[in-house]
Amino acid sequence: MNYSGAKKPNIETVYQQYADMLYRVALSTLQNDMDAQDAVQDVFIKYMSAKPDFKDEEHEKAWFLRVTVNRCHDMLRSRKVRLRLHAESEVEPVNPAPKARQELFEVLHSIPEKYKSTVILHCLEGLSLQETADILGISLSAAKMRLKRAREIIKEEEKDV
Amino acid sequence: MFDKKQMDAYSNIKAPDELFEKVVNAKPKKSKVYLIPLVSSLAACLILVFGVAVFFSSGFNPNVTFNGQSLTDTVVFYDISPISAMDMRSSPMLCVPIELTLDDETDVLISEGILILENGERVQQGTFEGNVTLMWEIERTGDFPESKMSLTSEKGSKEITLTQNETDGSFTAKIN
Repeated sequence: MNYSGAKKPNIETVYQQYADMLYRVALSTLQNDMDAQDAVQDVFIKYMSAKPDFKDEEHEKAWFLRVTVNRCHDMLRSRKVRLRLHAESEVEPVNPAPKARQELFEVLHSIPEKYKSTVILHCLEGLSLQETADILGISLSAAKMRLKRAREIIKEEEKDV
Repeated sequence: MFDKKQMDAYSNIKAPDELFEKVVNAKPKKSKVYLIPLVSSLAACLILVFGVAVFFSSGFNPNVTFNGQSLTDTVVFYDISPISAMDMRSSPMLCVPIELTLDDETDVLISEGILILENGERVQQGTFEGNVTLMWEIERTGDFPESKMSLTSEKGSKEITLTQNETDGSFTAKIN
């Protein structure tokens, strides 16, 4: 991939590189397929409109993740998303997700929004805590604390079950 | 935090095929160039106002009262009565009353001793917010080690160090 003023890659190439990762992050955050698709589509539209310059691949990846996380948070804030509440789970989905994914989403559902992105980026996407903190625009100690709190909440949930 | 099956389930999430069509057929938004000067001016004003506000209010500044004295830098105090070697044997614990005023959720962790909460619960660490009254109970030992209490919130962290002066038996609490 070309960076810093070199000819930009076409959208198909960029899509192939990042779509799965961004969709995973969006779906885990929003827990709704259509909303996750809308969020990822908005991110690529922003990419095509802004035509940002990137120093390197890490910079590009961080930009995509930051914009995706922010877009998901905007959607959650504006209440346009249809959060998958427990009450809704009574409705049989057309394509039910695998059991392990449902369990994973149950765990993520129990984590407050404030801590969820830290868990998704660090524990599931495998980013370092420093990278996670940079993407979320928080300090390293704040990222550590959010992770610690999320772990405590999950532990409490497991105890209750 | 997650088991292997859940991690695999996460890794196996793929963007649906229809998303590709949506993205490649989407048209980039035209930028509203004419709004840039107006928005820039407004943003600059807001940044200035918020910058001044943040300058005077940012940082982690817990209000700590240590043994009845406000701990802004250093507090020196004596235990209620000077202790003799015999007293030390009969009353081996030093109890220091502490009052904390915490604007945010704060983790409190001590290196030595035990914290006694208002409800009598005894803990070595906890998460607190608002006005909290604690009793820090520390064992008096012959070598007078330093005892530390760390306060950590999302805004930052502070550490209180408690040391005993061997010559006059006073205690020094310092926050930094």
